[in-house]
Amino acid sequence: MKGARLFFLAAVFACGATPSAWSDELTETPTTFPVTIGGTTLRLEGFVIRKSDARGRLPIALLTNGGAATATGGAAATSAAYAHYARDLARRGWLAVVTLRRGFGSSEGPKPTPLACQAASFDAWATAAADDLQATIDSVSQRPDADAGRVIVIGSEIAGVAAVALSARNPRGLLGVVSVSGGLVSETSCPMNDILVDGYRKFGTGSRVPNLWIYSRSDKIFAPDLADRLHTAFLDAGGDVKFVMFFHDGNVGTPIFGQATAAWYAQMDGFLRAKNLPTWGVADIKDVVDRLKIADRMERDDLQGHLAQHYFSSPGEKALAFSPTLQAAWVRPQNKTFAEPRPPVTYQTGSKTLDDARAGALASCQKVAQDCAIVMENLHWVGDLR
Amino acid sequence: MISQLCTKAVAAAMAVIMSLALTTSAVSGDLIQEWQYLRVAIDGKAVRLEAMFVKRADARGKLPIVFFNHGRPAFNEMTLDHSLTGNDPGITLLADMARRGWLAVAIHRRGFGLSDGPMQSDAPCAVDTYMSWMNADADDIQASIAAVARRPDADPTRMIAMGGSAGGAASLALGARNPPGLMAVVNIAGGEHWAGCAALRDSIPIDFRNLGSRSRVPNLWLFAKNDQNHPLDQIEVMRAAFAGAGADLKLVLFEPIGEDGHSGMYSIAGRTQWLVELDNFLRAHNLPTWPLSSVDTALQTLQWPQSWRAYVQAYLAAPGEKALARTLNKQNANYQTALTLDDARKQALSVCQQKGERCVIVMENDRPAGSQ
Repeated sequence: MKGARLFFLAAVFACGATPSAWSDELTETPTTFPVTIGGTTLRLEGFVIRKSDARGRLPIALLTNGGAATATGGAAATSAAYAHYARDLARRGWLAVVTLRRGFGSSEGPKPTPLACQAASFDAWATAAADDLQATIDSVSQRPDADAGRVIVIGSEIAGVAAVALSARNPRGLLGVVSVSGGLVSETSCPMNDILVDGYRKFGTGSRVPNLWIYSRSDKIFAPDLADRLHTAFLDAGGDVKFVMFFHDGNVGTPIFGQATAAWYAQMDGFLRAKNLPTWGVADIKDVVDRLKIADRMERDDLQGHLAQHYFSSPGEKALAFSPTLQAAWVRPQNKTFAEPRPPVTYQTGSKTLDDARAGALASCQKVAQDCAIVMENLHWVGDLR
Repeated sequence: MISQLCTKAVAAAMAVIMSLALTTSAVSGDLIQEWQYLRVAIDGKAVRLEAMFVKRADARGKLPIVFFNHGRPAFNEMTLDHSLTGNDPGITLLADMARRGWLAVAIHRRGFGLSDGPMQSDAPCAVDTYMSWMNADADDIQASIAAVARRPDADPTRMIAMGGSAGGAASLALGARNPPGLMAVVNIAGGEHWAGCAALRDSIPIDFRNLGSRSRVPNLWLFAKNDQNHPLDQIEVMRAAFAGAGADLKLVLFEPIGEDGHSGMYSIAGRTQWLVELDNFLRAHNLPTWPLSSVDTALQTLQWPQSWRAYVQAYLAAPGEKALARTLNKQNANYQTALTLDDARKQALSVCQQKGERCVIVMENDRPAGSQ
C-alpha cells in the first residue's frame, strides 16, 4: 500500500507554474476555460483537481464562487479559495472543477451589476449565471478525462441559486445539485423575497434534476421562513428536492459552506450514495476496520459509527492514528446499556497541510499511548502496522 | 462535534441484515412493492418523506394499514444510508404483514435515507430527552398517516403501528396520541436506550407512566430475555409504569435469541417466535391476519392427514420468504425461511432430501406451489 501511496504523477500546470501537489495523490491544474456564451467567446478563471492515479473518464463536480448574498458580492473571489473543497471532491473520485463566473477574478466578461427588485432583473442574472455554469461544463467536457454524462454542481448562497437555476434547464448529464444556504438579496435592500420565490417556482416547473438544499435555522439572511417558501414553491411546481434545515449540527447561520463543512459534506455524501454517485461508502469504513483487525462485533460497530461521524465526512487535510494499546484497553462489558467501547483511533481534520493533520492526530494519540501510528491520510489507507 | 447520540438501537441487526440484503430488494410475485415520496405537512411546513408500500398483488378494495417503523442507528451519519427494504424493517418483514392482508407502509423519518432532514430528535442526554425523541419520531409517522389515507387502497379507519427498537418506541408515542383509526401498537424490543446516558434510569418510569396514562389502544410488546439494550429489570420497569398507569398491555418475553436478543428479534429465529404471538394478538382483537381455516385448506390441498395439522399451522405462521418441501410419499417434509423464495426452495429441498429421498416443493409462502 505504501508504494501505491507514494506513486503520483507530476502535476502539469497549463499556465506553466511550478508543479506542486497538496497531497501526494492529487493533480491540480489551474486553467482558463475557453467558453462561448451568447455567441461571445471568452475565458473563465478556474482549475481542475483530480486523483493523479485515476484512470478513464471521471464524473465532473463543478464548484462556483458563492459565499456572498448579492450579485455583486464576493468581488474579491479567487478560485484558489475553493481549492480545499475541490480537493475533497477529487478524493471522492470526481474531476473537481472550480470556475469563477464572468466578471469575477480574472474571468473575462462584464462585471456583475446590482439587482433591481424586479423579476426581469432576477431572471437576467439567473440566466447569465446558469449560462456560465453550462459553458464551463461544456468546456470541461472536452477533456479526455471528463465524463460529461455524470455532472454535479455545488454552490453556496448566490452560487446555490445559480446551481438551482441550471437544474431548471435539465442539461444533459446533470445528475445532482447541492445548494448550501442558497439565496439572494439585493444590494439596495429592496424586497427580493417574493421575486426569489417566484423564480424558484419557475425553476421547479422545469427542473427534474435531484436537488439537495441545506439551510441553517439560525440563518439571518436566508431565514427559515424564506427557505421554507423557496422549498414549497419548488416542490409545488414539480421540482425534486431533498431539504435539510440544520438546527443543531451545522446550525451556524449563513456561512454553513465554510463553517460547518463536515455537516454539509455528510449530507452531500449520503445524497451521492443514494444516487449511486462517487463518494466514500460504508464498505470503505468496514475496510478500515478490517485492516485494523478488529474482530469484536460491538467494537466494530462502534468504530464504524465513530469513523462515519468524525472522520470520513470531515474536510481534509486529515489523518487518522491508531494504537493497539488503546484498542486492548477496552474490555467488553456484560451488557451494552451503560458501557461503550473506547475508540482506538484519534484524528485531526480540516488542517492546512497533511503534515499538520498527521502531527495533530499523532499528538492526541500519544497523550495516552506509546504505540501510535498514522493509518489513514485523507481517505487513503497508509497503515502497515500488522 | 462530538454528539454521540448513540441509541445503539438496531445497529447490530442492521449490520447483519444489511450485508445479506444487498443482494435483494425484490419481493415475490404474489406481492406488489411501491416506492414513492410522501408530501406531508409537519408544523405547517412542507416535508418530503420516502415511503415503501407492500401489499398482496391480489388485494382488492381498501386495506387495513400497518405502519412499520424503523429504528435508529448508533451514529447520525449512518441514518442517510438506511434502507427500508434492506436493513430495517426489511422487505421480508413488510412482506410478512402484506401477506397477512395489510397495506404495509414503511416511511423514512426525517434524516433517514432520501427523506428531508436532518434527524429531528437529537437533544443531548437529559431526563426529558428520550421522550422528545419519541415524540419527534411520532410526528413524522402521524404526518404521513394523512398522506397514506388518501390512497384508494388504504383504509385509515383500521391502522396499527409497529416497529423495532426506536421504531417500537416511536409507535408507543404515536399510540399514546390515540390518532383516529389506530387499533393497536406492536412494539418489538423498543424502549429507551442510550448507552452512557444515565439520566434514562430516571426518565424511563416517568415516560412510561406518562405514555400509559394516555394510551387507549391495545399494546403488544415483544422482547427477548437477552436484549442487551433492554435488560429484564428495565423491561419490568417499563411494563409496570405503562400498565400501572392504565394502559392495555400484553407483554411477551422470549427465551434468549442469539448473542443479543435486541437484534435477534429481527433474525429468522426471532421472527418465527414473535409472529405466532402477533397472530394471536391480531385474532384476539379482530384484526386481519391469515385465517386458521387455511390450515384445513392446506391439509386438503396437500392430501395430508390431521396428524400433520400442527406442522402445517407452524408453516403458515412462519416468516417468509418460505417454502415447504415434501417427499413424494408424503412421509417427510421440511420448510425453510430465507431472504429470497429461491433460496428458501433450495434450502428446504436440500434438508428434505438429506435422507436420500427425492422431495418436491409443495408450498411457497402461503400458497400451494405453482399457483403463483
